[in-house]
Amino acid sequence: MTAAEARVDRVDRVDPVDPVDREPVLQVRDLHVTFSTGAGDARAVRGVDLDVFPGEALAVVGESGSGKSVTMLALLGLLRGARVTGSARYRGTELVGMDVARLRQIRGAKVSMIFQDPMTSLNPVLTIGKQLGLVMRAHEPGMPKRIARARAIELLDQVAISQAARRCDSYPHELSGGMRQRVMIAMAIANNPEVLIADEPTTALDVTVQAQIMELLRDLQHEHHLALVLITHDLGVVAGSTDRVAVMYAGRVVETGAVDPLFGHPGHPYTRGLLACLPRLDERHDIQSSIPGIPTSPLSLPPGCPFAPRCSYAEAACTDAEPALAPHHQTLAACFVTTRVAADQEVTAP
Amino acid sequence: MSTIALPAPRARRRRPPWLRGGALIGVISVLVWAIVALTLPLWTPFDPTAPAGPRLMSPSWDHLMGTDALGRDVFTRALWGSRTSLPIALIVIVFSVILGTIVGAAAGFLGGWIDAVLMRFVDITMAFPPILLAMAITSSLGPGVRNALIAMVLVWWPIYARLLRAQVIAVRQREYVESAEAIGAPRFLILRRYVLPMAYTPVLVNATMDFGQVVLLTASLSFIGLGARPPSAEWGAMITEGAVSFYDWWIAAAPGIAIILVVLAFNFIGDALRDSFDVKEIAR
Amino acid sequence: MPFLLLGIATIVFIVSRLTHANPLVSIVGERNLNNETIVNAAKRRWGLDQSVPVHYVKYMQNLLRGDMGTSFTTRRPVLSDLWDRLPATLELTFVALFIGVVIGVGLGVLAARKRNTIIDHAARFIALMGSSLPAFWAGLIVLYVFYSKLGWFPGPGRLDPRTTAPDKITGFFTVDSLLHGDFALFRQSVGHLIMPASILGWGVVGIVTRLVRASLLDEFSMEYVRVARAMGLRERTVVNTHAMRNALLPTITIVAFAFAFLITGAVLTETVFSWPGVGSYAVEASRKLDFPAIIGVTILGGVAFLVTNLISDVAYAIADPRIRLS
Repeated sequence: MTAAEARVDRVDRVDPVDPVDREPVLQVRDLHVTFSTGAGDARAVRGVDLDVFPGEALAVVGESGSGKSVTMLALLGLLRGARVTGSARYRGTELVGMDVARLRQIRGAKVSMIFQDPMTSLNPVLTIGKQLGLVMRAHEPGMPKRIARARAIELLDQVAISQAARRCDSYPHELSGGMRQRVMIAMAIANNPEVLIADEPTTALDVTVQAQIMELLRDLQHEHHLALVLITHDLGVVAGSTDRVAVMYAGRVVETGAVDPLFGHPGHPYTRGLLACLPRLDERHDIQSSIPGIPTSPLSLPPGCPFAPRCSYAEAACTDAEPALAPHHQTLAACFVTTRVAADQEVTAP
Repeated sequence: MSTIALPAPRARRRRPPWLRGGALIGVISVLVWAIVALTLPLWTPFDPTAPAGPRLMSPSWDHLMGTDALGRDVFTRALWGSRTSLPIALIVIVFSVILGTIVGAAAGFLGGWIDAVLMRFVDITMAFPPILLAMAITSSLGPGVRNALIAMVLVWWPIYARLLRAQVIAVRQREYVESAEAIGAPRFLILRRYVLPMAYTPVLVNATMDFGQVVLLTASLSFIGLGARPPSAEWGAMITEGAVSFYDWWIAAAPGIAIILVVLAFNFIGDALRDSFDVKEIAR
Repeated sequence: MPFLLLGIATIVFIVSRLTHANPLVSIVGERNLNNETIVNAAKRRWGLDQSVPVHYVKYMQNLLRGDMGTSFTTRRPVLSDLWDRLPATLELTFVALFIGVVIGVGLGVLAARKRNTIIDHAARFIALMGSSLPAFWAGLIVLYVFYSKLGWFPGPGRLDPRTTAPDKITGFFTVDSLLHGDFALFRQSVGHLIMPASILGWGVVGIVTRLVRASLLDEFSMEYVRVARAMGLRERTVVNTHAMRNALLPTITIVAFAFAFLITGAVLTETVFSWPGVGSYAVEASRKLDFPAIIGVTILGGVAFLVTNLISDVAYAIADPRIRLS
């Protein structure tokens, strides 16, 4: 059984997007992010193309250092001291190079981001209500206190926090990790954004809480027709919650496609390796497989395909040039070998 | 993974802490003062104790900072002040560190009631504003440089005791010390070979930062009349003389400027050291 | 805490005892050694004709009753001397603390926000000067320049010469003159306060600026600051509401430390500005070897330090909700 067939059927998957609404709400083209360090230039993102469509859930998958977080932080202008080139458009408006004042209006109101560690993401000396109020007033400056508080309670209800009124006056350290993450989500949707970027929202939480948070995110997505960008290294989360996947490695997207085809027939060797690493309850494995080698450093990239040193399919051509995304069955993969094989198969298929 | 270890955004080859920016100025200044203090008898412009010109002359090309009430060259005396103030500060710090190390290491290493008693003592001593305690001790012992020295050491050592104790406790819990103890190494050896060398960095940082403050304290005590006294060429005492002839401003200005230069230099060094080590001042 | 108080008194006792061959000297003074009546009275009161432990006990008993001996120079009980002179010092230190903290926080915020620019370096230099300046020397120079030469500010003392002080309600000339409705006097007392308080305050600026800058920079790297920016908060809001609230917590403790520093600085500044406070009392006592007075002031200093520490601990506990609610 393939991974696609073995997972529990997602009944609550978001329906395919209305063809009329096929205009991407976020469009990233050839994004490059470079940091100058004492040891030279670190190229964290090297030409990333991404599309995020309204109402859909896109997973950006990769290991530490793949550039997945940096991409999103860069388009919101949240990186200090980084050189960002290329294009990142929100509904046609170019975000790269935008001045902070205008970016500020987009952050939290049109494109929101939540982060990984709920313990440190909330200010310990301010109440939950106050922090929610700050976010609301940042985009609606004149909001009276009473209304702000009422809305805050409403938001806390929406994210399924019980006793919302009481929690409003609590301090972050009085809440559990899961509740704090819900508060963050509440802050993120307070101004009805179109896009919600979730950077590893469940990594710091218990497994049971993880499921709850993911369910919450999906519910919110439905209710508000949100586009969700889920950054994660956990493929298990991806399977049940997203529509499309982009796999990143060494600062580039190496494979992209809809969830089912990608899980079913992964094109890039890295994706195959990731999927093979997923522990399975329904099959017997004697040895836990892993991808040999170590991730590349953005400071010193090997020539050609950055995955070649760890790839069991690597050929001579792989160190000559870096492959671009090419069709592989129903996905796009950046690999000379597998796409060539796929192309051959298409030709010879009956 | 939003808490990525992003590389530092500004590329700058990092020079060692004592050579960067302000610290460099500080280090050079200190070296200059040290050289001046050591070599002054060889090239002193005038005799600091004997009259060199008409009295109370304002600054001129002959006498860069004028002359005082006895006709002595003020600039020369200000330079000579370094031969009193700097060694005094050095002695105070050295003895404070030694005494503080003994007490602090004993407290940290031996623990138990010894620790409790010694630390109580430290706490009590540190509860006094330094100058008041120094004044009390010095006036009890009798005014003079030697007694001021004793008083300052008695005031200053607790800071190092606390610092040492914290360091000893921290280092002692490290594994290499535990393994040394496990193979039966004698305790004193462990202390000397392992614990103390590691513990010394913050002490050095603090001592450097303290140097300036000790110079200030010495001058303050002398100003009040409890430390060095006229006709000694100590900066604080000179300022007292200057306060008497208030309108002949240069008499007080020169030693004051000298103090500021020295203390600033050490503060620059200390600031830079602190920035790079990020030493949260444990003892304060 | 009570133990520390005990310890303070004991240390002072040891200091006064160990350094005199004849403890009588420290109580009645050299001049009175031949006066039988005084000597005998002292012996009885202080238990001098008995052993050291008894002396100690008597000493502590007297302390508890508020008896710190009689000053040689003023011939009054040390405690009354201190009580009389305390308001002057408090007025000076409070104003200095206020000036120092306000300017210090301002400079610290400025330095943190404009990190590594020329403004940052300038602010840090100003702070560094505050820690390097000999307060007494700065006082002299300032008096010379701004009073003698330029005449911008009034001279030494709390009021102009031959001016009567307001009737004592609090002992703070500023407050008392306001309470009496005497605005001219108020302005005069403020004018006299500015220079010494500024000199003292500069030292406070030295400590506070560095701490605020460091705390703020710590805050800026905090995750919740990044989250706030991601949610679209204005930088000003991020600094003032998020960062400052946390950065100010350690500042509370440093204010206690600054207070102790101020007591130290006050000793010298009061001398230079002829300010009739506890500090100049200590200096006069030292010069004249008036031991009861010296001892009294030292004990007072220790107690004041302990009290301020206690207050700051309490204030910190109130301000930090993590501690308050646990």
